[in-house]
This record gives sequence, structure tokens and C-alpha cells, in this order.
Amino acid sequence: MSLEFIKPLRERNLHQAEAVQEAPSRDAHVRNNLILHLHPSRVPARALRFSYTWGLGGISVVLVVLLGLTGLLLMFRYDPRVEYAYISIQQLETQVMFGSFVRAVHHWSANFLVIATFLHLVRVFLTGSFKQGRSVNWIIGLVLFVMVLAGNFTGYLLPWDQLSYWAITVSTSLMAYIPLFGTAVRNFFLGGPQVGQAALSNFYALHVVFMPALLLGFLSYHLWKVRKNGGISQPLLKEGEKPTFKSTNPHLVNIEMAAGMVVLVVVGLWAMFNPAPLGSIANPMVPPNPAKAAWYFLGLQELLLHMHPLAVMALLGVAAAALAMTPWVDRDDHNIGIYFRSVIGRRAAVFGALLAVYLVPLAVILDEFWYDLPAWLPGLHLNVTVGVIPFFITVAVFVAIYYLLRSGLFFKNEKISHSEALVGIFAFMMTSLILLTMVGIHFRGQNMALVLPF
Amino acid sequence: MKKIKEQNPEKDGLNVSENVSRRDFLGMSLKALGGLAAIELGAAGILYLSSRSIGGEFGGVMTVGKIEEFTPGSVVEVEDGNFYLICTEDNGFLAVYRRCPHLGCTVNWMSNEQKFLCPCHSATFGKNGEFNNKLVARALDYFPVLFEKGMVKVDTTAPIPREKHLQEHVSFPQAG
Repeated sequence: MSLEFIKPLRERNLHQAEAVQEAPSRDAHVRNNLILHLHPSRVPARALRFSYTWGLGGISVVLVVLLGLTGLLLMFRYDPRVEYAYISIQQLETQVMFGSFVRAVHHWSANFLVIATFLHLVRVFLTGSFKQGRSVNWIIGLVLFVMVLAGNFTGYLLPWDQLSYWAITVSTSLMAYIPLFGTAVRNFFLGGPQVGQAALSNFYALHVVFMPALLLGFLSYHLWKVRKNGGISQPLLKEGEKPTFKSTNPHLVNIEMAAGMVVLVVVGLWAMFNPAPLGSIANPMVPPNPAKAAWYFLGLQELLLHMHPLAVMALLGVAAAALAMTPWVDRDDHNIGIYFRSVIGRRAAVFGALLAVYLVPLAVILDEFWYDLPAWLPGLHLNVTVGVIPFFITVAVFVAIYYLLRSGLFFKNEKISHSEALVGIFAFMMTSLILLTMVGIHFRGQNMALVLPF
Repeated sequence: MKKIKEQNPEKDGLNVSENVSRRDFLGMSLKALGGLAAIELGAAGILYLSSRSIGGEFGGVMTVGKIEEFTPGSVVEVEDGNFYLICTEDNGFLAVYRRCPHLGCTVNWMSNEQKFLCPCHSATFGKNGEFNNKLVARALDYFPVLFEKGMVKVDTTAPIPREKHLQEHVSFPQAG
């Protein structure tokens, strides 16, 4: 449709060719203005390489926007009362036009966001992008990842089906193991000793207002800080080398638009063919068997089968602290922007990952069928045999891997630096986490016993 | 700030401390009051939020039934009260909370095996709620059992945690 009629008469009378030339320049001006609020006018040509960032940060932003929009739509139809929550979701699924689709987009965007932000974290670590004054943004990124998980977690209860009820019951019971004030924290979140109306109200308020507001604030800061730090990380320039620049529009903008479109298409298609799951209505009397947490917490739940909850939380705390301290532990700035730091670093990463592939299933199987510390050490309290000992064994494995890598035994006595050894440990940690999650998802059946998925 | 700090006392001719000018004093007071207000708001917020627990969700004293109705050695599930009422062989009563002390799943009474089983991590508990598994080093929580006019009542206000099952957790109706 032509918008010719709203233009002033004088402009309409202008020569047509002239008017055509004028119009795109105005559009471009507005567009550029918007883009240049977010991006610099020119970006280093090397920063545009897709296989460097894989667009993971941008993909996450698109997913957050999708979550906001579909979340708003869902709020018009959802009823956060225990008696009606499940029914309102059922109506959404069966009676409301596009209700099932909107819910599916929300569900899958949230799940993909966990994956995208996790991969983003891995990418940033592997390229050493927390270096050269980017330590604050690294920590903000970690906080954002925790907030993504928290947003997922608070949304998990809302459908009020068996899956959500028991996943939240199990996860909040975990809070009660925090020493001294654990039970108080649990009761604070649930608004009582068990999951009920108060818990649903809490989670609803946290999910629709608190988490999005917090996430938006931190996300804005995260994006602003990328520019403040001089754009995304890049390898150091060689002596006498001059950086080449390309204009943001269209070079960067085109890539971003393409990535954004692909995300929209993938999420949309996926949501069309895979509706969001909805179990039977929550029944506090009968937990399903097996009662599993959300898939992204199944790695932790798997650890809980082997150790005391406090040991699991201590390990989690140590891992989080180690990740947060990474910029101060690995201060070798000259290998920034290079995947795995170097060729040797890549070998260390492969070694760490393969070691996890070997050790994690072995440890899981051995614990299931063979070792039984409480029976072997009958004199000791259970807190020691399933808590303290497994905790220190796990920490010792990490320390041992570090010194093994540093010793150079595995790489024909080639010298391996501190920074490269850390890549090996990181690879071991992340591969272990992924493997534990896979065991939790696919290899745990009735009574959480080990089963084959095929 | 620094400039004023040096100038002000002489200018005013007042007996003010040389380190704290009037402006500094007011500034610091404002910060202190602001901090106090923040603490007040925080505390009020926590009190406001922590009182949300909806009353009656977890009951008060519940009447379960007549004492004679329970056969010794039986286990009865009371769904509304979230507990199992155990009538011991020697006619004592014990009400155990249905939640597994490990991660809060509802334990099931397996009458064939005479034990409680938690389906979440397959923790098992004996008939008196004592633990016999390596994951949970705690017996099932219990509620106090009361007897009034020949009726068994259970006070479900708050489950009482315990390390082990002890004989004193079992209540006996008074003879006669």
C-alpha cells in the first residue's frame, strides 16, 4: 500500500525519481540510529567470523525476546490458583486458538536458552574472552546464566502437573540442606513446609516479574559492557599488523538478522511439531516413579544419588567460585581470542573430555554395583562416608588432572602452560556435567535404578 | 568537598570540629538515615513476604479415629494429614510424616515388604520410620499423638525431625 497521500503536497509534486532517492535515506537514517545505539559504526573484520562466536550471545538475546513476548501472551490466559492453574493450561492447549503453539514456543525457547547460554559460556571460556579487562562482564555472564536457570525453574511449577509439582518438591527440599538457615530458606520460598498455593503464588510472582526484570537489567549491562570493553575479544595483533574494519551496517547487521531469522524459524517449526509437555494434574499423594527434576538439573540429581546433598552443594559452590575466579586465575592475556589457547591447549581439552568420557560412566557404574563406603567403614558416620569422602575425592581428581597435565607426561614431555592446563580441567568439568545429565535423562528408570534406554 | 572542609569552620566562626564540616555532617547524616531506611524497608519486606504461609494448609490437631479401631501392627495412611499412623504390636501409636527426609517425596507403605519406600531415590525406611539406606541418615519425621476420650488425635502443626527412632516417640493410650 502506498503511503503517498500522507506526504505534504509539495513532496508529492516532486519529481518521482527524486522522491525515491529521498525515502530510503530517511529510513536508513532511522535504522542506522537504532543500530548505532547498540553497535559501533565499524567493527574489526575478524570479529565478524561466524565460527568464532557462533552467534550464541545474539541467539540468546533473540530467545529472551521471544520468551518475553510469548510469556506476555500466556499471562492473559493463565490462572495462578492451585484449583485452576492446570485447567487454564489445559484450556490453552485444547480450546484457545494458537494457545498450544504460544505455549510451545515459550517452553522450547526457555529450553533452548539454557543450551544457548551454556554454549556461550563454553565459547567464552575456550577463547579466553574473559581476559583483558573483561572479568566483570564474565561474572555478569555467569550471573545471567544462573538467572536463566532460575527463570526456568520458577516457570517449571506453573503448569501444576505431576512433573512440575515433584520437580519443585525435590529441588526445594535440597534447599533445606543449607546449614543453619536451610529450612527457613525453603519455607520462605514455598511459603510453608510443602508445595501448595503459597508456593504457586511465589513462583508466579518471581517468574513473571522478578526474574524478567532482573534479567533485563543484567542483560543490558552485559551488552553495554561488551562495547565498553572495546567489542568482542580478538587475538592480539602481530607486530606491525593493522586491523581492517568493516562498516557495521550491512556487514554485522546482515549476519545478526540472518541468525535471528534462523532462530525464529527453528523455534517456530520445532514448536509446531513438538507441543510443550503436560502431564496429569499434580497429586501430592502419589509421586511419579521415577520422580525427576527438570532435564538441566538432572546432572545434579545424578550426583545426589551418589553423595550427601551437602557434598553436592559444596561441589557446586566450589565449581561456581572457580568459574567466577577464572579471570584472576588465568591471567595469561596474550592468548586471548584463540580457541583452546593453542594447539597444546586443544590437546589438553581433548584429553580432559576423553578422561571424563572414561571416568564418569565408570564411577556411576561402580557406585551402583560395587563400592559401598558405609559398609566398608562401619565405624564412621554416614555424613563422612557419603559426604566428606566423596567430596574430597572429586576435588582431588580435579587437582590430579591439573598436575598430570602440567607434568607434560601425556604430550611427549612438551611443556604445557598454566592457562592450557586450565582448559583441560574445564573440558573435563563440562564433559562430566554433560555426561551426568545424559545419565540422568536416559539411563535412570524406576526407583532411579540404572537402565538401558534402548 | 575537600575545599569546603578546609574553609567552613573559619568562615562560620563556630566551634565545629575541624574534621567534620556542616556539609559533611549533613551529608553523612543523610547517608546514615538512607541506610537505616533501606534496612527498615528490607526488614519490612522480609516480614511481609514471610507471613504469606497460608494458614490451615498444614492442619492443627486432627482426630483420626477410635483407639479400638486400630489393629496392632497396622499402618494406616491419613492423606489429609500427610502422615501414616502406625499402631505398634504393643498397642502404641506413632504418626510419621509422609515426606522422605532426603528430598521431600512422598514415601509409600509397602505392606508386603513391611517398609516405607521413597520412589525418588529408592530410600527405604523400617516400620517405625527408622532409616535403612545409605542416602538418608535420618528417620522419618513424626507428629505427636494425643489421646482424648478414647479417640486418637494427631497434632500436625509441625513435623518433628529426629535422628533415629526411639521408643519414646511412640505414644501409649493411658490404661483404663
